[in-house]
Amino acid sequence: MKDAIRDKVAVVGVGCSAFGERWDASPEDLIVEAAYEAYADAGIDDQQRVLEAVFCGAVYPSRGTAEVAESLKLFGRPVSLVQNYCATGTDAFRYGVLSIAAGLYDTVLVVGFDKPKDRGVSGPSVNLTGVRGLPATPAAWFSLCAARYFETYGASREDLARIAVKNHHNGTLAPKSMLKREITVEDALGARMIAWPFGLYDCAAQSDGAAAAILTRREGARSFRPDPVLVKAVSIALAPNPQGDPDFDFLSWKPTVYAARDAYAQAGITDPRSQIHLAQLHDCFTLTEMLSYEDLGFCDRGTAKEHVAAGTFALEGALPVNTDGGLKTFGHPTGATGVRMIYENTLQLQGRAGPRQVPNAGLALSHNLGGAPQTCGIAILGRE
Amino acid sequence: MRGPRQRAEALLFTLTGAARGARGRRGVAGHLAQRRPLPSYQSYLASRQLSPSDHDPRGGGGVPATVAYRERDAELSLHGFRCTGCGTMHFPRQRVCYRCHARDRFEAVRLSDRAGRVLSYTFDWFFPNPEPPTIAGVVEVEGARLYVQMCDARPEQLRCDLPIEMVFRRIHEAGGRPNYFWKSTPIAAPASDAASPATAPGGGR
Repeated sequence: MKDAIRDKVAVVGVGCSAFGERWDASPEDLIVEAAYEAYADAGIDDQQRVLEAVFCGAVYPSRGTAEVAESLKLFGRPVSLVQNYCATGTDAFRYGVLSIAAGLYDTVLVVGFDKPKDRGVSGPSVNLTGVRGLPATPAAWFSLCAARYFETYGASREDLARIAVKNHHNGTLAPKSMLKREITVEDALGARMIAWPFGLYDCAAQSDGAAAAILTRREGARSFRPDPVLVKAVSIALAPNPQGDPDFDFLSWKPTVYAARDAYAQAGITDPRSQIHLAQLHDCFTLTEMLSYEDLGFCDRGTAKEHVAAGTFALEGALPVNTDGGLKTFGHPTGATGVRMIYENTLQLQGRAGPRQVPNAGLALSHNLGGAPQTCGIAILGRE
Repeated sequence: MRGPRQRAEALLFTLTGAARGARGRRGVAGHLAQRRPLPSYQSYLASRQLSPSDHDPRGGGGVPATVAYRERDAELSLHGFRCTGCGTMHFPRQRVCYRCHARDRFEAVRLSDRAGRVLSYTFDWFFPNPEPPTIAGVVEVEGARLYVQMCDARPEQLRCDLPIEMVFRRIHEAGGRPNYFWKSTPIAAPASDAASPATAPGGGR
């Protein structure tokens, strides 16, 4: 039943708050900002009647499901909260898709959000509740492939810097990004170190944000808007913690390989690099984006650096990646990120992405990678 | 006489016309009249945080004693666990084998005095450390893989497959007490030209 989902569910409305250090905004403010944009986008003004269920994604909500239900006053229907590391947003979207594909509901709301700036730290917090597994910093975890990948394929910090430069450029074209500033390869290489090979510009920032999507059955989609986007695939896969996995090769992130295999089978994709027109990849760190090109089959093993240099993944390249600037310029409010990618891919497929529009985009992929990393979420959307 | 965390300050205010609106408030005398004396010297000590307690409000909870007890085979004596079905080594203890998925068929293997090698590494400037960077990575010892910090090493020594051994170290003082775990350290005397250009780490490029 690999194609049990394909073309059964449509995205008919998307919304996204401005991402950034939203000191004066509460989680409620962000959720309302994103959800009401999605309502308007779907042409809904009777959301109390239309929305039959709500699927939320957040990693550090202070009030659980009530955070969304109370903010939107959506009561008397199921409201569920999903957590799956950095794939939380994509997994919340997945549950929404599954609920409609299963015939439970006609129309549901998906909301991803997080408010890390209310935790009182500028970066990720460092907790010392055990003696093992330290340093427990995402930058250290995601850098663990660097030494062996660099030795094996001859890649370097310059190749990573070009990815940061590309994403910073794309972020200047996205109204809701946090960082709207071009940088140079020299800026990236000269910045202070976070965890080798990552300097400051190799790392996604922490930010606050929320994003929302309204899903409905394909059959009724055109009653909302004339250009619904169809869900071709949505997949989650876990892999062993790479820090202890006896079969880990430090050249590739297994969760992405596993999830891509499943998502491509669902969507009927046999040659991703020619069939997929654009992608939002999980650039929590520049190396994560680089390995994802290979793990998703966008290029052959060890060739990512040549494609980066050739501009394959630039906005005007053969397969544009992170057209809105990615986590690099939006920051990474964990639960929001996967839904923010759905927002961008939907705009691209409907030709509404303004100066960052990819011409004739027909099939778009989004990708989250989270944990140590241990989990991957992939969603593939296409024009009807 | 002044005890710990006890001090006094006196402030003298002159009442001006601006304070007239505050007539009818309780005032100092009113608040004192409504006071509730502490029931005992013990509650005085507790309210001043002068009483020894399980809960150190300053350093967080640290490592729970129950966890430290359960993990003692891995964290203190540094044992790995070999699947007797397929031979795969695990660290820390698992209930189900990563490779053959057999349940509870493990034997403990001592790793503390065995040599190993670096599989991959990083230099972490973000992790709290009085002398950054913290060198860390995945090492392989007797086939078991451990994500650990490295001590007594210079960044330029690091390369994949560098031979290491394990040493017992104080890892941090979370919870207001010393907590111990193992680190790796290079075996060979440091060779000054050990790092190849592709991996030359340190700072900058």
